[in-house]
Amino acid sequence: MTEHVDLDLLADHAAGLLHDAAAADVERLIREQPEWARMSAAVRAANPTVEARLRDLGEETEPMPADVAARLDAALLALGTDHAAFNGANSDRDEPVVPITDAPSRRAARLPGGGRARSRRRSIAGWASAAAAAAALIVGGLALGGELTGGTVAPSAQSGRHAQSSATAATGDLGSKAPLYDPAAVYTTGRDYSRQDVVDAAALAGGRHLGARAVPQVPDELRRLRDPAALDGCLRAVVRMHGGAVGAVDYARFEGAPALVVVLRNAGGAGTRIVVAGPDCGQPRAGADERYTLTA
Amino acid sequence: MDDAGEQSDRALLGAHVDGDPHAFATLVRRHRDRLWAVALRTLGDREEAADALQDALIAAYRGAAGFRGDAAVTTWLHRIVVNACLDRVRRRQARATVPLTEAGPADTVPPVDSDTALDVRTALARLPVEQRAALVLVDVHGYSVAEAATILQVAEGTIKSRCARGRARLAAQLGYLRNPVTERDVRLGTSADSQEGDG
Repeated sequence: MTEHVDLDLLADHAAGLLHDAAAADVERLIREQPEWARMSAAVRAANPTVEARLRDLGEETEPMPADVAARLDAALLALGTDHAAFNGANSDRDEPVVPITDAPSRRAARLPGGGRARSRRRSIAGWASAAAAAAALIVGGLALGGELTGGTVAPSAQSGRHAQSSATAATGDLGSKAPLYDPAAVYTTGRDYSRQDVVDAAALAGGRHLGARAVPQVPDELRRLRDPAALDGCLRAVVRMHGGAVGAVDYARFEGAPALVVVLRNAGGAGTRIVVAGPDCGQPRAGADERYTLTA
Repeated sequence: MDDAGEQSDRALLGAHVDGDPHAFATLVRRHRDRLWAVALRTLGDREEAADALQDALIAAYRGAAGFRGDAAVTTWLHRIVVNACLDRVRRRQARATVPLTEAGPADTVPPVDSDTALDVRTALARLPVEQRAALVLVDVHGYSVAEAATILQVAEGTIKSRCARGRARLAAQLGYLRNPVTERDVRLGTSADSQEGDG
């Protein structure tokens, strides 16, 4: 009887990766089955050629396209400017120097949270968000040295999908006193989202319920954000960071922790972004307290 | 011991952590083409690659203080980029609403007629993403198996198996295993890793 040739098994065998018993089985098949013998020989013979073709692929230059570079340029410029703006705004303060405990060199770093003991991760998020409005203005119009494109911000940087959403759109939205969200689009599903399924929240922006478990209570950690002013402050921090318009808000959980899941509809209909914000969202220096984000 | 260039990378990352507003962008500028190539070849789609790279670099920016210094800065950056790519593919697969024309599991018998053999880029894009990522790092970009294992956070034996299986699949798709009699009997497993460990 002819056994189907298992290419994966042959590949592992050819690479010497099988344990003794498995290797013996494959060698028996190669001895007894002409198809296995032929394919085994073919795999071994083809390997150098395949490796060479892959090496050749690596030698082909694949420079980052200008539009992608400009888009990253704008995104990093915004983040970098957040950083700079914060430091600049506080340059006359006697800021504490706090060691970074998870860095092997225990390098000291300035933390923007004054004397408060905040995590480094959060402090960077705070940096990034606290001065994001300034970044948006800069990317949206002021001339600053572009780090990646090597000059001033190129017009294409402003036309990139995310560049636009994280800069000019944010500036426009945040400049008005209009509410940032539709109260009808505020949900309390209590759902515990994961990285794999948080994209489902995008459906909320279309008015669709997710069939989530009935968890009527807002987690205690998120109660502060039930206050309209606190929610508004949080959403402004989120929009400053990513731009777009708030399509829906869900008081929920993310990977087990209480989280506000914000659905952003990007300016220009370029797509939807989900932002998972922590309980400190909108707090001074916490920015959006962002835990995770993705484009849907 | 790092070479001078790597020390410069570390210095830039350290400067970023210490508050230098330009250091991170300088670091990215230094490596952006290579990071882009890895993202593009891992995802096989320009827009997806751009999204993944942006997500990854923002994550790296924010997580720089967590760099523990037990690997090169470039390895750390590649790890974040590759993981962002794999996250995107897995999300697509979990949603199963987007056709996985390029990134889905290659569990069909590949073409073996040399007249219809695929371009190596297309063939690479049809591999299961775990195999593709391993091959992109090891064979395309010349990372060692150990480095690739660090980047992908799996055992070295897993990298070896992914590479071996990926090469065999590529050989089939590129027409190098041509055998009109027996090719119909070739069965490709659906798992990227039945072989695990540090073999």
